[in-house]
Amino acid sequence: MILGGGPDGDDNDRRAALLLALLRLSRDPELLPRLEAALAGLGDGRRPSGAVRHADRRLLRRLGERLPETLGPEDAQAWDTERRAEGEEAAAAATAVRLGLAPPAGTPPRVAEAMRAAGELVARLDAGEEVEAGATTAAGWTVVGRTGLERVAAWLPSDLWALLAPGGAELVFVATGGGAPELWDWDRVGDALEYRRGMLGFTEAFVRVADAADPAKQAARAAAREALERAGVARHGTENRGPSVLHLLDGRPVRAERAFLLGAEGHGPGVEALRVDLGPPFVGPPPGRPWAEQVWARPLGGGEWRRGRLRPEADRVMFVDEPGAEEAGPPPGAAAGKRRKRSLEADLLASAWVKRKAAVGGAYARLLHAALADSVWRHSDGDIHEAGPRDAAGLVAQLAGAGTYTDWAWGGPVGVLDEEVLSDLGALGWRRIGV
Amino acid sequence: MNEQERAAAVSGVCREAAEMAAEARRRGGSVRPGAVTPSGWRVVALAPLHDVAGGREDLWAVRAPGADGHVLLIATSTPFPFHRFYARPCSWAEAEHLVAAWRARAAGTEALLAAARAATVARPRGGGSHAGDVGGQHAAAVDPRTPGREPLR
Repeated sequence: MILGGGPDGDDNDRRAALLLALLRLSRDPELLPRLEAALAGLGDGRRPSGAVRHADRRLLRRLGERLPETLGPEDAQAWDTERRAEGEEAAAAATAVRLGLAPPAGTPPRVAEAMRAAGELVARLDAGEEVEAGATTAAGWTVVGRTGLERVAAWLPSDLWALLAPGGAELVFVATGGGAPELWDWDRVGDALEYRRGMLGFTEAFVRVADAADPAKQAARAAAREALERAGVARHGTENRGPSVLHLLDGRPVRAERAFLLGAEGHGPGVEALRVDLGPPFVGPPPGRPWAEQVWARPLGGGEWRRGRLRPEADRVMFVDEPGAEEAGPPPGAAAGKRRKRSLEADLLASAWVKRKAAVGGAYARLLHAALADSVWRHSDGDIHEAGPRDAAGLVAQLAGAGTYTDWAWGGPVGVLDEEVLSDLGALGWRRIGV
Repeated sequence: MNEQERAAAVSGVCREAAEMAAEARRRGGSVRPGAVTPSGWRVVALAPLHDVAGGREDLWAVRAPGADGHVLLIATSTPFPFHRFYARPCSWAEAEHLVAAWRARAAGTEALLAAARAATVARPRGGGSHAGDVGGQHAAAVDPRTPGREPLR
């Protein structure tokens, strides 16, 4: 039993008794005035009124630290147990609020239901579970998407969810985090987007201006450019075979000038040829195939080219027409016996209407790039597609049949997700799931 | 300028930035690009680092006086209860990370809105309820491309 408390004394009796006892015993200069103030607030000098406030908790914690100086071990243990139970109770109450299990009085039932659904998803995240789009709650709410929020204080929301009610009849946005789940309307989500775009603009402008003002950065940029140019020059070379010239990249042939055409040698060295089995750019040196397996092409005029093989000889290079010339082996990525992995590129390139739209309208193609760049797409089969701006631009160039990736990678609208583009990709089974 | 002098200069300009920020706050304003610190560093650019509940942080780009003219990044902050400003040197990587973070946040919100719109457009409509319906009690016609904005009841 704690000093001054009777066998039937309640919590407040014991708390008041402890304060009195510690006031008598303590010589702590910081503690004394606070204890006196606390006692003055007890009304009758013994009973603290109501629940323990936050400030009181701190005081009581401090008192608890001094327990061994003032109380016997049993009383100290009793006090400690009581304080722990209070803490656990408060933590449990806070968790219930955070998980939407304790909506404020007067909350409409459907809102409370949405809060509980979001709370259930938060609990899953707390448990280390992955919660992705398509996940459903026990009550049948479906996760449409989730994005993080700037959590600058523990009590503020950290996640924003889009949830579809059971049956798909309504969609709600719910922000979850330190406090109770709260519903956001479309305007508020739109405002959040505008804020983030604004902050992005601010910070981009900051870095651009600071970067341009720094002579060290400018010098480093110039040096990097020169190094790149030097490296580019170093990769290129030529090899003469009599009048014919072979252009090499990393020591491998990629272009020929002044070659002879087999069967028309008498016309002299007038053939220019390009190697066409190089694959996509930026993948390192050209493939090191034997001459007989390389595929070359020579122009026929009017934009038409004929495939063939190149046959280098000691004093000349010969072009041999072979209209159906093909690379040896299966096409890249087509491992025999393996299921072909679905690819967004292949689906788009096989889609006549997407190609037509991309070829006809520059706006559509640019919006397609905006949708594909720096984003993650998932097919209904589960296959995932991720692309950076350059890869996306290369794909758009192919679809539009115009230019190269350099024509599409920059200057387009950033962050504009066009509904027609989303709809077209959706019709192919692809859905944008994030960045 | 040797390493020791450079460190002293950085420390000095950080202190000046903190004092300028505090002075601007006392006057009810904020420091603007173009301002010059007492030792001659010019503020080239300013950006909010992020909003902090009860305080704020800013990122400064300041250019050294003289021919060298190198740019130093500084972060200033005024934590609760706003008694004073603190400043620290900041790396370019931190600034670039900040841009990347805001880009990811903006893109994440865009993706969420796009998914929400797609889900709203794609939901079953025949015989069912429209956006804003709650238990079938509300049946306003809704443009399928304009998701419902009515609050749940």
